[in-house]
Amino acid sequence: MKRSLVVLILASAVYGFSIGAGHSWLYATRNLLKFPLLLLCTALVCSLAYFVLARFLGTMLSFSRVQRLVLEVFRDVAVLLASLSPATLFLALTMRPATSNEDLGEYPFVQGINVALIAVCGCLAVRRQAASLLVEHRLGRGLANVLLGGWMALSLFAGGQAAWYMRPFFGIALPGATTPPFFLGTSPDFRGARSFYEAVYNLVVPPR
Amino acid sequence: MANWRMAGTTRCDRWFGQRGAACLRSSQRLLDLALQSEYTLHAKAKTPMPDAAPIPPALTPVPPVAGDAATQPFATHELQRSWRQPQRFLEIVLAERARLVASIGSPVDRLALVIVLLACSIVFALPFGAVLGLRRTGDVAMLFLGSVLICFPSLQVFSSYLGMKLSIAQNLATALVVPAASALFCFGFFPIHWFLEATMAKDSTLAAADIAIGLLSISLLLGLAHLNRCLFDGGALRSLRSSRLLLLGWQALLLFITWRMAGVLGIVR
Repeated sequence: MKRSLVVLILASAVYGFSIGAGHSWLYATRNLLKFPLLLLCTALVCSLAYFVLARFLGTMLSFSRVQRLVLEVFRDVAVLLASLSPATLFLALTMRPATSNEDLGEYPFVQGINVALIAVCGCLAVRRQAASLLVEHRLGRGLANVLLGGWMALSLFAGGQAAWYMRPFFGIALPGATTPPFFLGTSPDFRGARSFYEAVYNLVVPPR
Repeated sequence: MANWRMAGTTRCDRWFGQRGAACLRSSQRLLDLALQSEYTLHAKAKTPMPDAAPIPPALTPVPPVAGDAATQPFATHELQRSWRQPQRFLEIVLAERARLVASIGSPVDRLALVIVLLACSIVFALPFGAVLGLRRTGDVAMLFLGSVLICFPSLQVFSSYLGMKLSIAQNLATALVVPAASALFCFGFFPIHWFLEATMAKDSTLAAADIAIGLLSISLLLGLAHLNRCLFDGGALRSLRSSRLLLLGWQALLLFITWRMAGVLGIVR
């Protein structure tokens, strides 16, 4: 478990550095701390819910085993993302920069690619862990998928807000812009959303 | 093969007692009996048995296998042990579903089960309530347990009227599965709720209190889902299946009362 934890911290720090480098060295160095913190905070906040869900679905996994499994999923995601960090760093450093609030350059493209990479790595890690659950714990395929899907849904639910609170991880370096605080916290975004859930809602129903 | 027969004999010694074991050792016929017992075990495990000719299934009793223990009612000492090991509440209410159903159906010591379910409904709902506000620590327990207790008389009367042969304790234990399971889910969600409370603006359109309502709703719905799979998945409460409509109607009433209760407690604005 300790090894998983160390690998998770190192790998996520590497990926965090690469996505922050697109903005500035300040963001990159901050992300060395913030990205591992995001994953660990999510895992910690959801730990009880992971266990209760596992029990509800009828698995006899112990609390420590559940935490280990979840940590392994996060570790796998972090390692997969870290392996992509040279590519993301390259993209970040070579993207066409924003010139004003209207012309964002290639920032939306790079941001979209990162979101897609996180989704792909998440799916791969979950699939691998599901296979491991099938073999090691003899859970049925359906049960393993539901369990991991539930864990991921919980992680997204809490991790989304954690990411929102800890933002910015990447952004646009506009000329003359002031340095943002370490965490933006509940400061509103450009649509006025003050939490992850409001932001999602505003994305579905744009404010007038 | 010799070792295998020896193992069979030793096992028979355990299953059939000293007298049976003596007979087994003295005759080849009874050695075959031991082999058949082995055969029965392997058949249960769905693994092929080498060298074992099928023998007519006249030899009883078949020894209890591990799987049977999973459907035994909880013994009183097991229920009492949960007071010393609170994680056992999770096993009793959520994980060992078949045993919970068997305990509800069993006539032995239902009071202990009811007490465990009541305690679970109260204790595990407290942390979520405490996050809502220290003065509101008991609100979530009141929300789930209070609503169920308000609806319980209707369950008892309607079920008796419609011919379900369940005692008050059985009905109460059945009804308490909902708040107990919901409280356990609330316990799982309370760190998330605390985190959202700490990181979301209180005056925004969508505040942590609104998310808390969502989490409480999910907890209640999962509690109801747990009750339904207890009632309808297993065979122990088969008699209840004919009254599926009554139970679904009662759950609809419970949902409505819980919603009203949430309004009274100030959880829903």
